This record gives sequence, C-alpha cells and structure tokens, in this order.
Amino acid sequence: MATSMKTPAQIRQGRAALLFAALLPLLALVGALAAVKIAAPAAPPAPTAESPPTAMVATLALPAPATPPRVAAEPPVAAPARTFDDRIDELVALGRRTAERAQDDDHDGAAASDREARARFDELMAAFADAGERALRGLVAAIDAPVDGFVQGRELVLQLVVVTACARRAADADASGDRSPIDRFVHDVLAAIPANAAMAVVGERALARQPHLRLAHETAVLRLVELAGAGAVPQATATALLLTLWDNLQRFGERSSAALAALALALVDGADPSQRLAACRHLLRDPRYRAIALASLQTRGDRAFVADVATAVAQDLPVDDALGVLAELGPTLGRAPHAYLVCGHRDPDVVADAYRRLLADDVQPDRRADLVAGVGMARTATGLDVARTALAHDPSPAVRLQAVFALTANADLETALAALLQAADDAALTADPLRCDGLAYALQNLERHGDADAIDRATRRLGALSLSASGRAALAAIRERALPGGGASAPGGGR
Amino acid sequence: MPTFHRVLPPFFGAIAACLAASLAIVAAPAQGDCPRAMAVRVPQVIQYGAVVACSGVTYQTGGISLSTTTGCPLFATIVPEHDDVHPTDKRTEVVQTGSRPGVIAYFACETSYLLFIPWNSRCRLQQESPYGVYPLLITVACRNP
Repeated sequence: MATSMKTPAQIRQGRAALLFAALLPLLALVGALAAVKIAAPAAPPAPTAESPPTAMVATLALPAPATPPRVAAEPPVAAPARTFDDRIDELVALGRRTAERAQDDDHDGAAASDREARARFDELMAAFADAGERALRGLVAAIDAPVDGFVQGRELVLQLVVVTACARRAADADASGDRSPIDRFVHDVLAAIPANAAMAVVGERALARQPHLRLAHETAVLRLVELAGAGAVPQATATALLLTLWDNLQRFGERSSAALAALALALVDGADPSQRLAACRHLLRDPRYRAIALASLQTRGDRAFVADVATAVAQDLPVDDALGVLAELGPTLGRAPHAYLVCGHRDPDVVADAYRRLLADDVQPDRRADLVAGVGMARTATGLDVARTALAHDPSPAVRLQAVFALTANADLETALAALLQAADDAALTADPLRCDGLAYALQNLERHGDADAIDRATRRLGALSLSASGRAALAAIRERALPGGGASAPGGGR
Repeated sequence: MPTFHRVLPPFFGAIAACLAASLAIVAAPAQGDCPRAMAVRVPQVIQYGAVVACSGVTYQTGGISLSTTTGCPLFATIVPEHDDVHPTDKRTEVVQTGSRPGVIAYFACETSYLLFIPWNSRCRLQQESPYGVYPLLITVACRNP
C-alpha cells in the first residue's frame, strides 16, 4: 500500500536515486580518470554533448561517498558537495549572464542560458527536499532594502524557490490527500512574513489568491492582521491574505458563506483598520451584504478609509458593480480619480457607457467628471472619444476641463492644442481662476510633442486668463523649458 | 443599475465648498453674510494602480518611491498637498492663493527578454501627466462682521 501510494515528491526522489545508481559506474570511471589526470595535469577539456559539464557531474555525484582511487600518489579531491547556497549563487550568476546576453542582443545565447537556469533550478528543487525552508531562512536573514545587485539577485532566486515550493507541495497534497507538508510550509511562510518587507512580498506572492491558506492557518493570518494594525506588516499584505483565507474557507467548504459574512460583519465596525478593510471588501463583494457595508462606511464617515475601500472596490469587483459602489460611496468619498482610473484601465468601455448615460440624462456633473478622468486618462481610443464628446457636449465646465486634461495628455498635438484653445475661449470654464490654473497645468501635457510654436501660441493665449500666481508660474516654467532661450517675451498679451 | 442618492460634491471633492466660499467672498459683503468656512491642509496622497512583478524597480521622485517591495505599478496617482474647505463656527471665509496640479505617473516594466530569472526587467517612468488642479487656500475673517 505504501509503495503504491507514493507522493510525487517520493516519486521524484526515487527517480533521482535510480538515476544515481545507474550512473554510479560512470562516476567511478570519471573518478578514476580524474585521478590519472591529477597525476598528469592538463587543461580540462571543454564540455561537449558527450561529456557533460563538470558542474552536472558534481550535481549527480553529490550523495556519493568518496571512493579514493588507489592508482594516484595523492588521493583525488572528490567533487565537493555543493551546498544550497552554492546552487543559489550559480542561479544568480546564470540569471545575470542571461540578462547580459539578452542585452547584447545575443538571443540564442540568452535562450540557452535561460534553459540552463531552468534545468539547474529543477535540480536544486530535487536535490533539497527542504529547499523552501532553506530559502525562507535566507530571505529572513536578507538585508531589508538591498542596494547591491548581487543581494537583489539572491533574493529573486530565493523568492522563486519559496513560491515554487508552495506550488509543488500543494500539487503533492492534491495527489496524495495529505496536506500536512503544505500546511506546515504555509505556516512557516506566514511566520516569516513579519521579518522584513521583502518577506511580506514573498508571502503575498506565494499565498494571496492561491488555494494554500486553509482553516489551519486562520490564527496565523489573524495574527498578521493584528500586526498590520500595529504597522509591523504591510496592511495590503494582511488584507490580501485574510481575504484569500476567507475565499478558500468558503471554496473548500471549511466554513459557510453565512458564517464568514457573520465574521466580517463583526469585524466591519472594529477598530483594527486591516480587519475593517478586509471585512468591508468581503461584504462589498457579496450583493447580499453590500448595503450593510455601505451603511457602515457612510455612518463612520472616515474619508481616508473610504478612499482605501474605493480603491479596493475598483480592483476587486466587476467594473459595472464597482462603479455602482463608488456612486453609493460618493457622498462620503468625494472625488476619487484614482478609483475611477483603476476602473478605466480595467474596462474603459464600461466606464465610457456609464458616462454617456449620465450625460444623456444631464445629471450628476461631478460624477461625470470622475468618469471622464477615469476613462480619458487611461490612454485608449475609447478614452479619447469620450473626452472629445465631453468637451463638445457636456454642459458642465468642470467636466469640459477634465476632457481637456485627457485630450492634452493623450491625443495628437493638433487635437490637444485645439482642445486647449477651445477651452481658453470657453467663458463659463474660465470664469473660475482655479479652472484657469487647470488649463495652465494641462498645457504641460503638450510639452512631450516638442513643438515650440504650439507652446508659444498656447502660453500666449492662456496668459490672458485670470490665473493665480501658481498658474502664471506654471506657464513661465513651461516657456522656459520649451522655447529657445526660455521665450523672449512673457505670456500675458491680449486675446 | 446603481442608484444615486445625491449629486456628488463639485469639482475635486471639497472644492465644491471652496467655490461656494469663493462666490461667497464676492457676495458676502453685499448681503452681510459670512460662509463660516475655514481652510484645512490635506497632505499629499499617492495611490498605486495594479502592480506587476518587475525585478529592477528603482524610482524615486516627488514622493514616489518604488522598490522590489512595492513592485511596478501601471500608474500612480499623486494628489498634491492642498487645502480643503471645512465648516466652522467662526466668522471666517477662505480665499484661494494658488493651486497645484494632480499628476498621474505612468510606468512600464520593460523586459527585453522573457527570462526565468527576470533579471533585466526595469520599471520605467513612461509619462507624467497633470490630470487635475487642487487649490491652495487661506482662511480670512469675513469682511462684514
């Protein structure tokens, strides 16, 4: 029974042992030849397809007991067992070499080097059953903010080992039904997360939105959430892990959705911001509990927290649902260009449709400005189309200004300049000095075209507006940067 | 279809109140009214868009600091330090003294080669674009006490 129910890890180890046994005679021969070579030293031959590189031989020889040949006067030096750190260093060097070849446009060389890195990585994972734990120890001991490229390279490889170890043990658990190895390793990862910022990144990468976190880890995850409240762990990491845990508990039937909702409801009005954020995100994702979460947010009126929730909602929910929640949060949230930008990047068409509906009904001009910002700054054809529509047809000057920002940032020079000059002639828009300053800042977006004539024309026109000192300083700075000699005459002439 | 309870605050959040207060500055003397408003400083806020893994993340400017820890965001929204308008019991009003732009910084993780160990990927700033304007305000006594 035991033999017929081997785990993949056991199977891999068995294969390695079999391979080793098969190659033992060959290794003995290599050892004998090496002894002869020591007696008559010569330049080592370059590895060929027939003779594998010495590093590969060393890898296979790793578990072999030293068998000193008797023919040599001095015993040969057996290939030293390569440590975990040796292999990590080798991978770091391979990574660096691959990158250098790629940068030199040696694509074949880079591809070969990359393949070698993958092969060596697989060897590392096969040679060390505890590679994940070793990598964790290495990451915990790593300098928090490495500046030296070598340290950064080691960190990259160690991160890869941890993430791979998680995935492989999860696959083993799925195959064998025994979750204890993956559960133990996940515990180790969770315990290492507070060690430094890099570990938090690794932990989130290995565990967030993955199926590894289960009921066995609930206490550890809640501990991290507690630490996040004290600033010892990034709040985003703690929140992501708690949400993942809850998703997994429900997905794998370890806790019902009603029980999880009850837990979230208990936490949503708590004092701990990470718990509150996770609870809010959990409740807002479920239409049945969305109204309760919104009511809690509106009652509390914590604007900074609501802004965090808005960003999370823009990332988590389907864009249509996210826009609905953002609308509900509106009175408490105020303007939220970032959340709308996230939506605009995810699905510009949905944001554009929402804008067009509000424009057709001529309602909620301020929400229209948010929508134009969200889709217009997302650098898509849809965004430009919406911005053109808004500039031409929206009755709100605030929305028209938002359209000018989008067009100057992302349209061609001719369209951008025309939008700016049209806005400068828009009496309703320029009636407010703050919006005039906005036009001066929008002009900065034209600088990327490098057209001095366009900048000169626009600064002269905008200089005639009722700008604040900040707006005038912005215009002067643009002229200084864009015009030869900084522009001989200051802007501010008549229309 | 979402429902909307009320019209959101006008241009850039609390600027609604700012504009109202600015109008009140003009109207107040004639009507003997005071908006009872005060300026409150709002610190700079930087929010990051979706993050992609990028090994060579080094960028620091204008309060943005990216690293291997933060990853490479598709964009960052920078709301500058500015002033908000809050109600007060005192007979004060706000006056705009200046403004600052809100900026979106677009980033891209440039990888010249798809590597198992993504050594040579770099998070690079592609473009900085002003996207909005925020007021600088001061609080002054109402002119008609």
